[in-house]
Amino acid sequence: MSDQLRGKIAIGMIWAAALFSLSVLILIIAYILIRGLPQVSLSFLLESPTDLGRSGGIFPAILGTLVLGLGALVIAVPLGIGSAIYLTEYTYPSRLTSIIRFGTESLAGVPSIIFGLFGFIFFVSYLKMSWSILAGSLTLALMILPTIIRTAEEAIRAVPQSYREVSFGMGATRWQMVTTVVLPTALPGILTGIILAFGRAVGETAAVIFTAGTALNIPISVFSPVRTMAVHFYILAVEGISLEKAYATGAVLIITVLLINIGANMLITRAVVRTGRK
Amino acid sequence: MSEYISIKNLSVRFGSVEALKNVDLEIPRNQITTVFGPANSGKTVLMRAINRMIELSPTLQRSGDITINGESIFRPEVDVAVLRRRVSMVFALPTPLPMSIYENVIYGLRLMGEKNREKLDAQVEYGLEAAALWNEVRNRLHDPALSLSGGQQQRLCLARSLALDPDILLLDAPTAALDPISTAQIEETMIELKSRYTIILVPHNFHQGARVADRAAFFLGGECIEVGTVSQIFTAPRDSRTEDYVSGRFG
Ligand SMILES: Nc1ncnc2c1ncn2[C@@H]1O[C@H](COP(=O)(O)OP(=O)(O)O)[C@@H](O)[C@H]1O
Ligand SMILES: [Mg+2]
Repeated sequence: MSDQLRGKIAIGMIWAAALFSLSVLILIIAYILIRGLPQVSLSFLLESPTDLGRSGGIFPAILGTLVLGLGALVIAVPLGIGSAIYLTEYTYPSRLTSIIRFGTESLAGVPSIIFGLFGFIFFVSYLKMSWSILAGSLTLALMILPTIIRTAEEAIRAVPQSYREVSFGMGATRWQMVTTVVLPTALPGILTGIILAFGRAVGETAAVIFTAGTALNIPISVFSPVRTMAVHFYILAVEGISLEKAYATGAVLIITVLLINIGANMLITRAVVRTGRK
Repeated sequence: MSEYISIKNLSVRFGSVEALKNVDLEIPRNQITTVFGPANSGKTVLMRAINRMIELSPTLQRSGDITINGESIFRPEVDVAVLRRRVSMVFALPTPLPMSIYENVIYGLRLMGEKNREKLDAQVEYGLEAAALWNEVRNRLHDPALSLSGGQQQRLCLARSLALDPDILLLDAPTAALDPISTAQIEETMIELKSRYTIILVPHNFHQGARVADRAAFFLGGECIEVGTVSQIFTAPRDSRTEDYVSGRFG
């Protein structure tokens, strides 16, 4: 077999693999949308469920999903960006930074059910937060922290060294250099990481079912338990309550994630255009 | 000759690299002093010592002293931010920040907390005028700086330094990346600026030093080999190594 032929076969296989993954993804999304969308109506979005979800809408679950996701971001974004700034701008590579990096990387590989159990034992039981928005958000925050740190670190490292030199040369303190030059330049990359993390948080089931609970009421404070769309979907399907409503919930969840991604992309494009970078 | 900047027995090491060895150099006020020599001879490190940028390196070891107007820049009460605005540096490659032309010029003033619009506007016009860029950009001050040509970008960087009203300009091969026309414009600007500023220039090649400078210092391997007026250094060097270099026998 000639090298050329071998190359062609390899490329063909790569194409086939890519095509296969893409079609599986499209198939899943299309299947859920086709089965779910016909049941989605304005009242489905805006009403509370009745009879365990067999009828009515999913408004509390939509609210729960967004509140938990945003809560996780409120906790994880400052921590994550702060850590990334510390690791890139305030330390030289050392034993300590490699330990921190190893830690975050390991955290990224931990299955979400483990986060759920940890959250249950630590936040829910030990700190007596019970099933609540607070416990769920904290657990999700821990889960998405590595993603935010890693993407922010990469974005910050990609900022040209010459920008830092110029900033110091004009008399900036390190903090001024970070806020006036590094963060604005790294912003699109940092935002991308935040969106990715938010997407993960919004779709998460295992980490929140033990920490935020499964309550179907509209939450009144951060100590209220909530049910997310993903959990609602899971319970409706597993307990055989209503497959129709399960697919409808899934469809809303998928569209929510898509909308978040599209909105974020527009934001990022605007941020890039404003500074004149290509 | 009234010396303005005095470099006294300055040695700089980064780990095991000896970048400057016992350098003594006097730099007079309102003249252009060119610091020239082959690559890695310590020219950039010398410049970065005068505004204390070398201190950003964790492995730095320094001995010796630098005084400006008789006062050491290494005294504990010296604020490096103030020093770096007084001794402003322009780099070899144009380095506009990813913001508008206007924001670039006032960047240093913004860091100082200046908010007065009139003052900012005035300094933008002053800096861009002095850098011979005002007429080309006055109608597009809020365009991204990265939309300018390379030569314009470098003059913008000069304007950014000038807007701070510095006393000393450190120009590290400012025309290295520019075409001949932009180079000539910047050289002309440098000569105009020397009545107001003391300029240290690492030339793009030593012909540039001979064209624009008043004094010249030849560096080799981290040592200052010889210093004198431009005509003396380029026509009658005392040291054989200087002679070899200016006659093109090495480097
Ligand atoms: N921050 C630094 N860390 C380690 N070595 C450095 C640093 N800056 C400069 N050097 C070394 O110092 C020597 C002189 O460099 P430089 O002043 O940049 O030379 P040039 O005359 O080409 O401008 C070189 O060997 C360079 O590698
Ligand atoms: Mg150099």
